[in-house]
Formats: sequence, structure tokens, C-alpha cells
Amino acid sequence: MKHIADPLTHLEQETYRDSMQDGLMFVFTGLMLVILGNLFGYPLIQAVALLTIFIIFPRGSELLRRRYVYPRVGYVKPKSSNNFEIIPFVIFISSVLIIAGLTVALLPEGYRDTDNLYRIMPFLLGMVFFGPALDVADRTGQDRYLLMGLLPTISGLLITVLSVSATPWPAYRGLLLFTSIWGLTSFIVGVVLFWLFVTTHVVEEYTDDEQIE
Amino acid sequence: MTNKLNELIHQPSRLQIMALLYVIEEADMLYLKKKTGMTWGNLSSHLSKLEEVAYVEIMKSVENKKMRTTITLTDKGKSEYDSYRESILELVNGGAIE
Repeated sequence: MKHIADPLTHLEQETYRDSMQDGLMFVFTGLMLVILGNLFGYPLIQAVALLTIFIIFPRGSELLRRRYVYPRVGYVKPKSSNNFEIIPFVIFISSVLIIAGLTVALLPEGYRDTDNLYRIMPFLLGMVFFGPALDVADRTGQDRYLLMGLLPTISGLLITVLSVSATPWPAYRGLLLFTSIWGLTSFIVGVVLFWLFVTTHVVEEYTDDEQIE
Repeated sequence: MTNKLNELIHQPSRLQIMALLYVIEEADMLYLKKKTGMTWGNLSSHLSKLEEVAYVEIMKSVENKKMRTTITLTDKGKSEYDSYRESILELVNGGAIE
């Protein structure tokens, strides 16, 4: 992990933190996870719902920011991510998928079916969280964001172990549990952060910009 | 080796603005004001000086019946800032400044 090496890196990390202090990123992640888990058995509805969220949410959050965020702390657009190491991440995800495949293959005969693939999805999804968590931790300079990858992975592993235990759970239960827990947590954290942001920052007036009638 | 420090950037307030704009894509006046701690007048005056030499680009748009001013560092501004940093580093490392 890169730490504060030079003042410009520190400044860049500070501006990135500023740009995400409203919590809307967590609201978006939460909504996506809840949709992903709750509609997993209905791929068409799920695809439409995710597409809708992808189209509507950026517009909606921009409207919210214009109304509540920019008048309080101003508008800043950070540079696009340039430190996200795609190749190691792809290798990492591929390894996870290979390990998952091997795990399914090594399961006893009676357990080796597609249901078991769904049962290990919480663990896989948890590990996938490491990518964005590493990126955010690096860009903000705050290692605490690594918890966004660590906690879902540990809980995903726990849910997966429980769901393939002596009495296996129904195929989707673990996934539903995982996405509901983390989806709702992320959504609630996002809403609380947004509320705190709005209540602790006052609206500043542009005194040098003219009002247009 | 001698280098000439860019005096326009060397002024502390403008250096603060340039450094901030260097690490982002764009920002509005309010954000710059909050980060630099300058008054509206001061900020506006320094930005005008930087705009005159084409180091920054100031774009105005209308939003909710209000003017919104967005500021971005130009390519020329980026390159001047890079040169300035090099000069300062050279100075710190024992080089001479004209």
C-alpha cells in the first residue's frame, strides 16, 4: 500500500476523500447488492433492475449532489483511477474462480452440482470486493477501506462453509443472506453518511457569482 | 545548471491553486475557496492572473438560475507546473536558480 510519500499524493488522496464524503457510493453499492441477491433466480428481471439502477442512479445522485453537496463543499472531479492494477486483479479473480471450481470438484459426489456453485458464491463475491477496496484504500490513503474487502470475504467464507455443511442450505439462501447483510449495511451506512453530511455542512453562498433572474 | 523559477506560480496562493488543480480534473470556485482558505476576491484575482497566461481555463455555466464556475488546469499550466517542480527540486538538491 502506498502511503503519503509526497505532498501531491497526499493532496490527491485528500481530494478523492472529499469527493466521496457524501456516502452516495455506499448507497449505490447497497442497492446493487440487494438487487443482485434478491433477484438471483430471475436473471431477466435482475438484468433489467441492474440496468435501471446503472442508468438512473448516476443521474439521481448527480441531482442530489447539485442540490445538497456542491452548495455546501463545492464540486470536485478527481482524476480517473490510474493506479488500479488491472492485470494483478484479473489474475487474482481468475485464481479465485479456479479455486472455487476445484473446491466444487473436490466435494463428495452427492454435493457436486450447480447448487454448490451458488453456495460458494458468497465467498466469491466477498473476494471480488477486494478489488474496489484496494482501489479506494489506495486512492484515499486510508487503509480502513480494506475492511470493505476483508469483512465481506470472511463473512462470505463463513456463510459458504455453513451452507455446504452436513445439512446443506437451499442453494440461494447463503447468497441471499450475504447480499442482504452487506447490501443493507452498505445502504444504511450510505444514507447515514449522507444525512450527517447534509446536517454538518452549511450551504455557502457564491458572493462573486451573479444570480440570474 | 541554472533554472529560472516561474514567478507567477511561485507566489504562495497561486502555487496552492496550481497544486490543487494539478491533482484533480476540475473543481468549482467554492471547492477551491474552501481548500485554499482564500476570500472570494483573492481567489478570483489569482485565478484571473492564471487565466491571463492560459495556465487555467475558467468555464461558466448556468445551473438552477445560478452561475457555476468550473476551473481546470490547461496543458500549458500542467507543463509549467511540472517545470516549476523540477526547478524547485533542483534548487533543493543544490542546483542554482537564476
